[in-house]
Amino acid sequence: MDDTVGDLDAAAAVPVLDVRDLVKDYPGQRALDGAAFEVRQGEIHGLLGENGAGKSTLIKCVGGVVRPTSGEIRVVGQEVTLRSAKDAHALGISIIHQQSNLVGSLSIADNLAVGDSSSLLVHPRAERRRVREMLDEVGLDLDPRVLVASLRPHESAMVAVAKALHSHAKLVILDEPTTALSAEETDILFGQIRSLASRGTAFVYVSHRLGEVFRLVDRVTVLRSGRRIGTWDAPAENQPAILDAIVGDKVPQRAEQSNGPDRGRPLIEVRNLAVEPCADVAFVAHEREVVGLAGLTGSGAEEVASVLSGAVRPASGAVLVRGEEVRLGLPRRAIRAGIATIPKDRHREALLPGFSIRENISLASSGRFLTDPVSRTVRPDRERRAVTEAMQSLRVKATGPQQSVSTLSGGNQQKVVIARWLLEDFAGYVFIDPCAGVDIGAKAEIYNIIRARARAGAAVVFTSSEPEEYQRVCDRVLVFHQGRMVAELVGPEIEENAIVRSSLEPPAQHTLNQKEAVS
Amino acid sequence: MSASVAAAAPKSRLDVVGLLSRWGTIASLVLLVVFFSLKEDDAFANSRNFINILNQVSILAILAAGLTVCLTMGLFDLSIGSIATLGGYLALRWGAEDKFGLGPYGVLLIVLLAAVVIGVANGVIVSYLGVSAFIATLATASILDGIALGYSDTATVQVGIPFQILDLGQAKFGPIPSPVVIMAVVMLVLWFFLERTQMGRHMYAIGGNPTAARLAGVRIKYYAILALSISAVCAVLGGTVADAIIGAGRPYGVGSVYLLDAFAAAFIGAATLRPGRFHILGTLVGVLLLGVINNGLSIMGAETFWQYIVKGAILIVAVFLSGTVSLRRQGV
Ligand SMILES: Nc1ncnc2c1ncn2[C@@H]1O[C@H](COP(=O)(O)OP(=O)(O)OP(=O)(O)O)[C@@H](O)[C@H]1O
Ligand SMILES: [Mg+2]
Repeated sequence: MDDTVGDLDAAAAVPVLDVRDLVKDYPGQRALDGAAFEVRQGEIHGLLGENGAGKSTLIKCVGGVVRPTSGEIRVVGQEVTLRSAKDAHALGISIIHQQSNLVGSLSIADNLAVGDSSSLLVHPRAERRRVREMLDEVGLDLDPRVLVASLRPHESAMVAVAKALHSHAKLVILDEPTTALSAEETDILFGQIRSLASRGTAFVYVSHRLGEVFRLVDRVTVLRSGRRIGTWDAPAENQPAILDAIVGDKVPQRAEQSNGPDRGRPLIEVRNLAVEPCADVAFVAHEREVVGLAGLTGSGAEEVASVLSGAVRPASGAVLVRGEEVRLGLPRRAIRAGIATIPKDRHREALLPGFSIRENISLASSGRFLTDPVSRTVRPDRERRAVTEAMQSLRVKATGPQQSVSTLSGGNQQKVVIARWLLEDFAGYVFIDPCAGVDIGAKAEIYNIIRARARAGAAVVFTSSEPEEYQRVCDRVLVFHQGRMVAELVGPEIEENAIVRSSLEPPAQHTLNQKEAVS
Repeated sequence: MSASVAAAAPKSRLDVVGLLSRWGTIASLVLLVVFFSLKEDDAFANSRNFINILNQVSILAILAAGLTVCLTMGLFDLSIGSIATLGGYLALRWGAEDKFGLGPYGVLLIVLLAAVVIGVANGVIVSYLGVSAFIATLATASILDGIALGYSDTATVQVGIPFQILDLGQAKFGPIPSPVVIMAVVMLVLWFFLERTQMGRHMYAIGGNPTAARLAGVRIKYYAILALSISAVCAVLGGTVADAIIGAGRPYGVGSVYLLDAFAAAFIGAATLRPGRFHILGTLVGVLLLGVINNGLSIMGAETFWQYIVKGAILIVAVFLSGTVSLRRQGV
C-alpha cells in the first residue's frame, strides 16, 4: 500500500493543495500568521499543533468558510479565491469541520444528499439505495430517514465521514473526526481512508490523538501560533522531533502516577443499577480513588457514568453518596449530593454559545461569588478573579475572560467546560471523555487535575474513548462488555492491551460478581 | 501563551457593522433628539417636554422590562397586554368597591398577587404541559380578555376610585410624575435582578443552551414560572398606572396598545451594546427611541401614520444588525 502512495507522489509533482503565507486576523488575535502547507496527491497528511495553533482556521480558509486576511491558496497549481463552501466543493475539496456540518433537523438521507447537486430531481428509490450504500461503507446500520439530531455523537460523526468520503473529492480534510468515535469506528474510518488514498485521493487529518496519527499518516506538518514549524516525511521515525515542535518551549508536565491502593472510605456507591444495556451493575468509588469505566461504545460504561451525573434516569437501582441515596435522573440532585460531571458532548451539553468565557465558567458554581444565600447577588470582582485563575491553571488560550466561547478553538472550549467544575470542591467527579480534542500539554494538565482532586479526597469516575488514558489516571478500571462488568483491573494491571482485550472478548462466562467489584 | 498572539495582531480596521450594531440604536436616539431639537427648538427641547416624554413611555417601559426578563429565557409572553387590561380594571373596580375591606393598598396587594397567580399558571402550562410560551400565552390572553369583558359587563369604572390608586398615575414628586418614578424603580430592580443575581445569570444560561443549563443544575421549569410571573406583575402594574392616569378602569383596549411596542422595544434593546442579548438597559433605550419618535413627530405635526412607519423601519434595521452580529459572536 505504501509503495503505491510513493509512486503516486513521484508522478504528481504538483501538490493538490499549496497554501502560502496565509494570514487570518480576528479582533485582538492573529489566528494564522503566514502559515504554509502543502498536500500531495494520494497522501495522508497529518496536520498537528496545540490548541489554538490555527489548524481549524487554516482548514476553514481552504474550505471557503473563512476569508483569509492575506496569502495564497493553490489547488493543483492554480491560485484560487474561495468565497464560499460551494467554491471549495467545486474544486474537489471536501471537509469535515471540527464542529459538525450536518443539519440536525434533516434526516440522514437528506444530509447525505445536501450539497450533492448532480441532479435537481430526486429519485427516491435510487437515492435511498445510494444512501444505504454510503452508510454500509462506514459500517453504519441506521435508517436513512432518522433525523440527524436524534443520533448519538459517534453516529453523526460517522455520517459526516460517509458524506466526506463519498464526495469523490481530490482532497478530503478531516478536522478531529474521531473525538466522538470508538476504537472500532476509528478503524473503519482508517480503512476507508487508506483505500481511497491508494486510489489517489489526498487526505488531511487533524487530531490530538497522536498514537492514531502516527499509525495513519504519511507526512506530518506542525503549526504553532499560526505558523508552520516544519513538515516531516516518515513521521513514525521522527516522533520526538514532531512532539517537540508541537509543544514548543513549554516543558510538558508529566502526568502524575496513581497513588496506589491508598484509598479512603466508600464515597459513591452504585447498587443494582439497570440502565440500557446494563441489567444489574454495582460498584463503589472510594475517597482518593479514580475509577475508570471502560468498554466499547454501547457496552454500558458511559451509560452508567451518565446515570451518576443525573442526566439519565435508570430503569431501577440506586446511587448513594456518602451513604445517602441520591434521587436519580435530576442533574441538580446529583450536584447537590456533591457530584460534578464533565459531559461528553461539549456543544450540546455544556457550552452556552455566544456567551463569554466568564459566563460559561461561572455557570455552575456562582455560589462561590455570592454575597449571601438569600438575594444570591453576584460579586463581579471575586467572580472575575476566580475565573481568571481557572483559565490560567488550564492554560486557556484567549484574549481574556470576556471573549466569546464560540470563537475559541475546540480544545480551548473543552478546557472552559472543565474549568466550570473546578471553581468549587466536589465530593465526587464524573469525567466523561474529558480530553476530547485537547492537546498533549493540556491532557497532562487535565490528568494532573484529576489526580489532584482524588488526592484531596474526592472520588472520581472516569471514562475515555482512548484506552491508553486509563493507565495514566486510574487506580482501578472496571471493564464493561455488553452491559456486564467483565473485568476489574487494579494498579499495574491497568494497561491498554488488557483493557482492549477484555472489552472485546471477556473471559469466558465470567461476570464480575458484585462482591469482587465492591471489595 | 496568548501574549505573543495578541501582540502580533494588528489594530483591526474599523469594524463598521460591529460598531453600528452596538451603538447604532443609541446613536439614532441621540440623532433624533438633536434633529427634533433643531427643528422644533421651543416645543421639543425643554425639560418639561423631556419629562413629558418619560411620562409617556413609562407604562410601555414597565411592561417591556417585565417582558425582557421572559425573553432572556427565550419565552415570548403575548399575554402582557391582556394581563395589563384585566389588572388595571380589577385594581380600580375593587378599589372603588373596597372589595376586601382592606383599603386601597390592600387591593393593590391582592391585584399583584392575582398577577402572580396568572404568571404561575402561564409558567405551569409552559413548563409542565410542554406548550410553547408563544401559544400558551396567546391562549391565556384570550381567556383573560374574556374574563375582563364578562366580569365588567363591558362597563368602565369611573366613580369612587380612591385617591391612593389614582396617585399611581397622577401624583407628582416635585416635577417628576409618579409613573416615571414607578418606571425607574421597576427598571432598577429588574436590571439588578438580571445582571447581578444568580437567578438572572441562570435565566440567561437557559436562553443560551437549556440542556447545558439543566446539566449544570439550573431548574428550568422553576425559572419559566418565575419569569412569566415577573412579566405578569409588571403588566398589572403598568395597566394599573395606565388606568390611574385616566382615572377610569376600562375592561378592554388598555394593554393591547403596548403589546407590540413592548416587543419592539425589547428587540431594539437586543441590538444595543450587547448584540443578540435582551437586557434592561437596552430595553430602556428601545423604549426611549419609540417615545422620542412618537413625541417628536407629533410635535412636528406629522400625521400619526408616520409614527408607525418609522417605528417599523427602525425595528427591522435593529433586529437585522443584532442578528448578524450575534451570529458572528457565535463564530459562524
Ligand atoms: N471567529 C473567531 N473570532 C475570534 N477569534 C477566533 C475565531 N476563530 C478562531 N479564533 C482564534 O484563532 C485561534 C486559532 O483557532 P483554531 O480554531 O484555528 O485553533 P486549532 O488549531 O484548530 O485548535 P484546536 O486544536 O483547539 O481545535 C484561536 O486562538 C482562536 O481563539
Ligand atoms: Mg480546531
